[in-house]
Amino acid sequence: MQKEHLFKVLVIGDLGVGKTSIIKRYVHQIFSQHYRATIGVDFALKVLHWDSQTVVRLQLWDIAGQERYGNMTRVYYREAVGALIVFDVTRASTFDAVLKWKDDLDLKVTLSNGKPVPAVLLANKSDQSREGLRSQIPKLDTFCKENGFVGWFETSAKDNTNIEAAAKCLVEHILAYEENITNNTDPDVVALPGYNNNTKERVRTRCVTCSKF
Amino acid sequence: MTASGAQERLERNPGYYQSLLDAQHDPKLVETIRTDLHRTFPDNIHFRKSADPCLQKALFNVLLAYGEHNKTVGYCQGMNFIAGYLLIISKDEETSFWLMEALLDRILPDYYTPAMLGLKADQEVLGELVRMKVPAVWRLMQDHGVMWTLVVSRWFICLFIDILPVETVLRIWDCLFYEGSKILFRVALTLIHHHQDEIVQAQNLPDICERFKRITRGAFVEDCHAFMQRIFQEPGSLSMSTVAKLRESCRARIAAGES
Repeated sequence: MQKEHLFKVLVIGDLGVGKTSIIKRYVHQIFSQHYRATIGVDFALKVLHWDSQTVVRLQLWDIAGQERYGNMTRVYYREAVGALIVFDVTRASTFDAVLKWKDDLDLKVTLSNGKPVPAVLLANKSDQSREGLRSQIPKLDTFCKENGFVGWFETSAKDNTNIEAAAKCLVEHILAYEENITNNTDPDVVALPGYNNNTKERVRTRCVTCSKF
Repeated sequence: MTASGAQERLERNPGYYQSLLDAQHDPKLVETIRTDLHRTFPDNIHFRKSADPCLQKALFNVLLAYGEHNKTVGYCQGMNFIAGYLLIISKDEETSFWLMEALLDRILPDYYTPAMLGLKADQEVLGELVRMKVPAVWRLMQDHGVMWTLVVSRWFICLFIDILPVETVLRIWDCLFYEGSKILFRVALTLIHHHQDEIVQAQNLPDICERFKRITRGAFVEDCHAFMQRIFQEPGSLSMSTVAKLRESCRARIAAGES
């Protein structure tokens, strides 16, 4: 039986970091220097034949980056199950805003178990980056761990670098969560926020306890 | 120029525009405006970097001057398209500035302020008008839980630039300067009313969004003369007092919801 998933994914970050370019590259395999500034919100659909049994439909929400659109566009966050947070490696201020976007995301939407939705960090416009900024990039591993990103990628929508990889990473995390949920559909078990409901963990815990007696 | 009072203000305030440009500028304002310069009418040859004169410089000046003139508004995305469009038509920076001043400070409610309350209210006002005049579409939006902002925010923010054909936008703007912001509702209602059979067939949210994009294209909007006649017939009567009342109640509702 083929399984079909529909996932809503947000693409967020400061204005001009390349959110629209990333989506156009990913969905239509094109790049142009001539995209307009996104006003409000736009979206695109990408269909992935994940494996022989799984089809994933990604609904990518391209959200305007200017701060004042924030309180208008936040209503679009609901029911999102993942996010790509983008910054521009040539403009330090867009990296400084990354945590603001992440906090905002976590505040507005969570998974059904109360945990944050998986978010991947994209260091975009890598084709234009100078050595000075590039030397900062190794620190992103620590940055991601500390701030709850599931991973990061140096991307270029222009050169088509790592866009697929970043999306794949995000989808893997979303699917892992989905499977975890499906495996745990036990009507007697109520999923509490912050409580690990993983079956394996419970079984192991019980065994450890048993062995004591 | 004359109808909007822009001409009079230009003549009464010689040197004002230049003084705004000569002032000290907030670096954040400058950076935000710069980010959008090459993303405004990128397909228009006058906005290409290679053009001579290149309108990007004029666009920067008009936006910067307005940001200095109205510090509460500063710069809001969408204003780049408005200033750019005024520059294409008037071919003059100072004229564009004063027309922009007329539009943003007097003709439109507070669309571009940080809270964007006027814009949010007008999106809801349109929703209420659709409820009265095109109930089938209103019901569809309710059934699918689609907020009006999702499908019409660009219509209001960009005043139909880049949404409807250029000639049609020109005609709409003539009315906007003469008759005020009510015309935006007439245009929106006409688009929705005329295509209601097509819209209500939508099956899901992406489908609804796609149909709202499709209704802004094609012969119906390209024949600008006929279209302008339709906007005064198709939505039926629309008094300024109805709009004012709805604006007031929608504003109150939004303000209550946010506090």
